[in-house]
Amino acid sequence: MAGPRDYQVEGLVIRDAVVGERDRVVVLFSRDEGKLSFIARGARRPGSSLGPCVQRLTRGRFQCVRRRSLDLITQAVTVESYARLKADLWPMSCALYLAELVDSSTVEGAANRRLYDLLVQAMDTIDQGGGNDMLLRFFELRLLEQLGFCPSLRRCVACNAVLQPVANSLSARQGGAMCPACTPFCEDALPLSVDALKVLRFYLANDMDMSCRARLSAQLAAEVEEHLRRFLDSILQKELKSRAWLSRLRAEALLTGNREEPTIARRPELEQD
Amino acid sequence: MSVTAEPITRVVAALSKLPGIGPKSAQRLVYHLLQSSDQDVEELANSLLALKGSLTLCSKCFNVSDSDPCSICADYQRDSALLCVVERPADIPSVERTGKYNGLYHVLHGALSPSRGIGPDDLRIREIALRVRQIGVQEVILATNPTVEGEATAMYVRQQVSPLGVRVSRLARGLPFGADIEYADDITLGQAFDSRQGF
Repeated sequence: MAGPRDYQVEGLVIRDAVVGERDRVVVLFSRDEGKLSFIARGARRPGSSLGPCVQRLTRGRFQCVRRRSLDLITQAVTVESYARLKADLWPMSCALYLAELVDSSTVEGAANRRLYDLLVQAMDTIDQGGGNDMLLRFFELRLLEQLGFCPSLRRCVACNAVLQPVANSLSARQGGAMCPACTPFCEDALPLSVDALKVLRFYLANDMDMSCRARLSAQLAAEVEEHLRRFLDSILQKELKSRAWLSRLRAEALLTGNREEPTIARRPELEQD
Repeated sequence: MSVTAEPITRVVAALSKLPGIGPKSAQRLVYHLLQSSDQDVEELANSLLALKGSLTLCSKCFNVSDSDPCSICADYQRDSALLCVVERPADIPSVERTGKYNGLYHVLHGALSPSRGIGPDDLRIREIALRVRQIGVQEVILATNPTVEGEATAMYVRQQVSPLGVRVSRLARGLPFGADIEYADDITLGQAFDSRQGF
C-alpha cells in the first residue's frame, strides 16, 4: 500500500465489532480518506487507553500503522465523545441511524470531506439537543446530494418541463420529480404534494440549523419521510436496520424532548422557491 | 486429491466455526488432539456431547444451568428484592466473584443493536416486568456493558420498568484499577468525579 507506514487520521467511529478476546474492529468515517477499517488491539481490556476512543459515535484522532490486512490503531485521542447524545435513547438512536446511513452509502477509501463535515455537524446538533425528525430528513437529502443522487426538484425528470405548483410525483427510479403529464408513464412514481416539494427544496436551499427549525404537520412530515426513504432504499438497495428501531421508538412513545406537536408547514421561509 | 485426511478436514472445518478460531488455529488444535491420549480425546468428545444435552435455560432468569430453576433462583437465601440485569450468562460469574451482590439475576442474552437489527423482541426484556411483578422486586440493577449498545439497552429497560414503581439503578462508572488518568476519556472521568466518595 502506498504512503508511509505510520499515519494519522481524524474520524468518527460509525461501526465496531468485537473480535477475539480483547480486540475490536473499528470502522471510521474519516475526514480525509472516507471510510476506513482498523483493528484496535486490546481495546476491550478494562483500562485500555484505546477503549473509550474506539467506541461507536466517538470522534477522535487515531495514530495508525499500515499492515497487509487491516491497519492497526496504535494510539488514539478523543476529540468529541458526544456524552450528552449517548445519555438519552432517542438522540443516540438518531445518531446510530445516521452512522448506519453513512456506512451503508459509502465505500472504503473514497474521501468525501463535505459528507464528513455534514456528519460531524449533525452529531454536534444532536449532542446539543437538536435531534429531531427534521434533522434526519435534512441529513438524508444532503447525503443524497453529496453522493451525487440528489433528486431533481425543479424540472420534470422525464420531459424537462418546469414543475408547476400542482400535485406532482416523485420517482426514485427516475431520480426526481415528475409533472402530472409524465406521472402515468412511471410505475414507481409516488404523489408529491406542493408542500412536500417545497420542504425538499427548503432543505436543499438552507443550512442544518434553519432546516431543523422547520415545523411540519404530521402528515407532511410522513410524506417527506416516505419519499426520502424510497429514494434511499432505491439507491442503497437495502433497508436500513436502525430505521425500524426509530419507528419502534416512535410507536412506543419513548421519545424524550424534541417531539413538539406538529404544526403546519406554512412558514415564510418554506414559501421560497 | 486432497493431501489432508478427510476426518482432519472435517474437524478443522467444525472448529473454524467457533468464535476466535481461524483455520490455522483449528488445524493446530486438531494436530494437538491427534497427539493427545485416547482418554483425553474421549473425555473432550463426551463433555461436548453432554454440554447441549444436560444444560437448559432457567425459566426464571434465563441463565444457562443444569437445573430449572437454576441454583441461584432456587436459593432462598438470596435477596429477591434485588434483580441484576446482565447481557450474557458469562457476566454472572464476574458479578458473583465480587462477593458484593446477593440478589437475583436476569439474563437478556444480548444487547439492543439497532444497526444489526437486534431489537427488544430478540432479547429477554419483556420478561423483566413479569418478574418484577411476580417476585416483588424493589430494585432493578442494570449491569449491561458500558458500550453504546449496552447503554441503549439499559435506557430501554429503564423506560420499560420505571412505570412499575421500582428503583432502577445502573452500575457506577469510573476509573478502573491500574488505569492512568491521563488516558481516561472524558465520559469516564466525568462520571468518576460525579460519583466520588469520601476518603
